[in-house]
Amino acid sequence: MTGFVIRKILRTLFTLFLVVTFVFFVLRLTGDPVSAMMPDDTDPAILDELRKQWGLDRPLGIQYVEYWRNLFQGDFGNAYRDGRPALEIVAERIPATLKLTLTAFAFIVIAGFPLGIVAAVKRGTAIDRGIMTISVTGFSLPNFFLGILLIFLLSVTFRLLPAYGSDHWYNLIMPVITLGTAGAAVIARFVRSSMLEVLNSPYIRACRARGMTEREIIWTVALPNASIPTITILGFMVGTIIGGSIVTETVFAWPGIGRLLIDAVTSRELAVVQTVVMMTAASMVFANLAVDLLYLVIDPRRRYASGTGEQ
Amino acid sequence: MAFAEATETIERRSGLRTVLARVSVAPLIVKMAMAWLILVLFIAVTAHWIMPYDYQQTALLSRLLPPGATGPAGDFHILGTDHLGRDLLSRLFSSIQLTMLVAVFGTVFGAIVGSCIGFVAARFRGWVDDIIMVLVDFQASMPFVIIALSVIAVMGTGNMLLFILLVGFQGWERYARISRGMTLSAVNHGYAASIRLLGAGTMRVYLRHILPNILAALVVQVSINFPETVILETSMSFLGVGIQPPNTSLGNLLSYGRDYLLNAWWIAGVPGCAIFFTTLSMSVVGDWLRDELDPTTSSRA
Repeated sequence: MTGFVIRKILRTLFTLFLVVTFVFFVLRLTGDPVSAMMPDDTDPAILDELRKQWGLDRPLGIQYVEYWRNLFQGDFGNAYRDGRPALEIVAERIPATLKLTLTAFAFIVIAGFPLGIVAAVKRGTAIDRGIMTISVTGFSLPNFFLGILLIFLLSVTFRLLPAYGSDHWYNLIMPVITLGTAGAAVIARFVRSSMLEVLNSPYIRACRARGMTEREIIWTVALPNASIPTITILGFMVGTIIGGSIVTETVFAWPGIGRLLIDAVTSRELAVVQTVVMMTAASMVFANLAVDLLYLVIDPRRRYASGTGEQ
Repeated sequence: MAFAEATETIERRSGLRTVLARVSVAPLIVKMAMAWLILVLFIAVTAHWIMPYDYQQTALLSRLLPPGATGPAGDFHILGTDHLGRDLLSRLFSSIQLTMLVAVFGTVFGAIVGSCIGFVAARFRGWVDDIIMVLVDFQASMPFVIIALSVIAVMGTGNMLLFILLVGFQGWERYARISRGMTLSAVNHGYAASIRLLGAGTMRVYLRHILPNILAALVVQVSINFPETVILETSMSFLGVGIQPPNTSLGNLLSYGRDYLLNAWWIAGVPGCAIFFTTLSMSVVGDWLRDELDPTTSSRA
């Protein structure tokens, strides 16, 4: 088991290494950052001067080593517009994004699980079909359209919620629904099929034979077992949520990292872009690691399967 | 497993008539979804002949006309006009065309490149396979939109070909995984080796013998990937980093509409519904296709 954990951690570090390398090469090889940032009619002498100043005229290998050294010193480069450190610019946007994404994550779990369980228990009934229809619909609604739909309904037509703003708890309602609906739909579908699989398995028949009530079976046997594979999907959700938050933050003018990224892409603030990409990658990679380790804790079969278990 | 799929493929190859027979017994919702997709494809192909007005033609006197309104110059607009007086139906047709163009070419490109990468991994094994699988895992652990955005940040917006390739590249790792895994199982099954003994070259073995056997799995993956490509393209265009004016995609159209929700809901509503119905139809048809093609998840089993 220790071997398994170490392998997973090494793999995580290796992925992070790949991310940094990827970002470095995308930024250095696919274009010239200097001419990308400056206006088209800039004097070539000035461009050369800037290249020299930023060390872009040196061999790629040396730049790459330098790049790593700067990262370890917490130097992600400076924004060229105001010269502030990119890390600082990104850091001040983190709280808003965390508030949004964590609430959306909670929404996904709180909405997705019960719907999936009910659909599985009421399999084949109108309730099941209704929930699955909602799920397919929620999954197919692009989040930017859902966001606009919510603004149109709740802000413009019924005037219940303000369309923009992030200071009050109720400002979260529409962005969280926008960001979480697709995920909740996926979880509901997945929990349903996972529950059905468990409910059809022989050990559930054994429970019935022992005289357990349906309610006991569902809550104490079926649900815990059906939840295990769902954790993998929840791990994938981290990526979906991060990707979705870019759109959601733009629709609702939410002052988070997603909007920052779009602004940075359109104004070509490469230092900010690379910082956001690396932070996103790091949070995803660590989420995957957490999922893998969580499996070890809750699923004894994994401990056996990983070879050096504690049996 | 490989054998079961091989026979499955042979059974399915009994021509157009069986396909039509299958479609005719499909549930109503699936037929409706297919009808919508056929309509969308028809619009995408014929957009420039069937649009009532030039989609870029502005008419300031006809600004923000609601659906079904007639402008001061006697111009009739079924879906109304936008903030510059451009006919929304014409813009919708033009947007559907571009969105479909990106989605079709992007998906085909991603499927071919991804499958080839999988073939290469399965053919050479060893360190080539290792490197490819590390890249596949890396891709699977990053949201693709982030990667696309970082490439756009460097290359700039406005390069349509680059954008199509970029959007299409989404999901390559899943094709690679499928084609690699199924090729390996096909190779283990032995028929590839026997064809090789008969003197067939590598290309012939892969294209004529292995590809047909894994085609069903790849088609299922295409049906999953296609709506995702549509959503990725429209999202990026919506964010202003995808298709650039004067070209227009459904995402661009929707993002203009956001500013006019108060007084002209149709500008956002029309393209939004078009995207929604299209992705919904693709999911419905895709689910049905999966059941039809994949014996292991079939509801008939």
